[in-house]
Amino acid sequence: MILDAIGLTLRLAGTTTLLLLIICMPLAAWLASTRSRAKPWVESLVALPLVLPPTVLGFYLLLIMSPNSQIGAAWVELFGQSLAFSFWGLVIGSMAYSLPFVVQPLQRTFEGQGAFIAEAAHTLGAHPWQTFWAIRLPLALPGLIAASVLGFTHTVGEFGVVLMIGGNIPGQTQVLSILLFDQVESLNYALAHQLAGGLVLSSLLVLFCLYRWNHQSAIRIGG
Amino acid sequence: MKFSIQGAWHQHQLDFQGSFAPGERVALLGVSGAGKTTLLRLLAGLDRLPQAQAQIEIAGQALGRAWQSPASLMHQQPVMFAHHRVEQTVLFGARFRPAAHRLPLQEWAQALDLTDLWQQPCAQLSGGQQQRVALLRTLMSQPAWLLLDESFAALDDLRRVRACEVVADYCRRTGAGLVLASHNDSPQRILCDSAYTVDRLSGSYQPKLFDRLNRVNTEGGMTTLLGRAERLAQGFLAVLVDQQPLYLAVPERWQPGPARISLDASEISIALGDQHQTSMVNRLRVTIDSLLPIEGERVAVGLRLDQQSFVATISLWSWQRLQLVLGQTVFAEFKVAAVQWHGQAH
Repeated sequence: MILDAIGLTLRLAGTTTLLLLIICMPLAAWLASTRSRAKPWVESLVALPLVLPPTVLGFYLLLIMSPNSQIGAAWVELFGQSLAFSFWGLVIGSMAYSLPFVVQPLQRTFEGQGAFIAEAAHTLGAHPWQTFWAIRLPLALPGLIAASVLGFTHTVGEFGVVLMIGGNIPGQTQVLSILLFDQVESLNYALAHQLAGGLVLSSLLVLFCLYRWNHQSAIRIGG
Repeated sequence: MKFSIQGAWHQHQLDFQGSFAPGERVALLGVSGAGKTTLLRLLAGLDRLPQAQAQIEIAGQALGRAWQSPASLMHQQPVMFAHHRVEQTVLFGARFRPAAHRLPLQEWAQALDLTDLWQQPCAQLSGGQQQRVALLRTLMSQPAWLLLDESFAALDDLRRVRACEVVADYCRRTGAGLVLASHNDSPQRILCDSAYTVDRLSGSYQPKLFDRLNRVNTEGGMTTLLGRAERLAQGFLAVLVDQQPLYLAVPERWQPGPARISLDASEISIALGDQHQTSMVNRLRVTIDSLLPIEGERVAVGLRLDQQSFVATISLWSWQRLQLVLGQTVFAEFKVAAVQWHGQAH
């Protein structure tokens, strides 16, 4: 049961982080350099999951994913399975919930590069895509790592959204935090201690590694 | 390169019109804040005005986005990619435009004193080192027009002259043109032929750079003469300036051909008679063609050779004692040691 939950949690967090990185890199690069009037709107939307109770987010996502909604019905049509109470439903919910944790560090990193970095590459004849792969992305590596770690650990720690749209199906949607809640509810404190303590220690370890690595890479590239 | 830029830019009105011949080397003159960097950024395609306000044509094509432009701007503050080593960043410059010419990378790296830094991380370089690395990177990108914004500012005298020689070599090999803004006018005296003066965001073109640069301002002034380096004579280099020989200390590197020599206008005195030329003093036969009183009881005397003119600043007292008049033929004298070698741009 615990191993199932650990495996599911890691799979969920890994998938969510990977998909978020793919979406958020261009988004963050755009936010860092745009002068568009839409920028504060997009930034507000991205930051919204920071302030909303996860249950609010979960509630709306549940409505959207239910087979009664158009999107939910289309999903069932395509994949023959409801989005709500499924692994991919959790992935979508987690992505919405962890979005600001990935976008914001990336955006700060791209902003920190300044406009001249890209300009200097452009004026050597490098196309924006070439500039992105060869210059902006490698320089953003510390931010990229930070964003991945934050997105990953935050997804591991989520509870409200998962409960709303995933329920509590062992092996399918029962992640660690839900399992912990389950054990506390049934007064099984021994297992609850192991789960809670394990989460605290592993999160601390990951964050420590991140900050230590960031510190060293800042010294290395003089940033 | 042709450009016609007229429009509003950050609440200021721009008016830049110009047409430079292919391979022309233009000094961009003007006080700081006059709009030199603004013009260079527009020409590089980094800043853009609406099509109706800015028509810019470089190497026969309308200017598009910065990465499509055949011109490269080197920023005033050299931009380093912190994750690159020197070698990587120089080769990065060579990656994008077609390599139409084979360029002597090793030779230039040596002339710019970069060989010892070749494997160093760019982030650890000093300002002057970054400037030399950025210059080499820009040259390796083979632009048809080289736009340099104070690109020699962090270099000491010797390194500045060497960097100028490398730029001149690049322009010679590729036929590239050059637009050079520089606070210190020494790189312009070495490299440029014509001038584009920018004043309060509007510009004007002068075909002869030295007519413009050799004027004396309140702080005095440098004068540059164009000549031909001819031969060594008794431990000096003889340079022919409008058919008259002139001697100077033999520079580190020279070859027969076009040469530029400079001296301070206050080092030149005026004599009436043709005494003999000694190995210590140069003497040029000139005609007085203008007179301008300047600060401190002094006058700036415009002197004309066959093809070019220059300026001597002498005391008002000397002017009166010698009873000089406009149109008079006199001899401009200056010490051999006062003459500076300013390169052989062509």
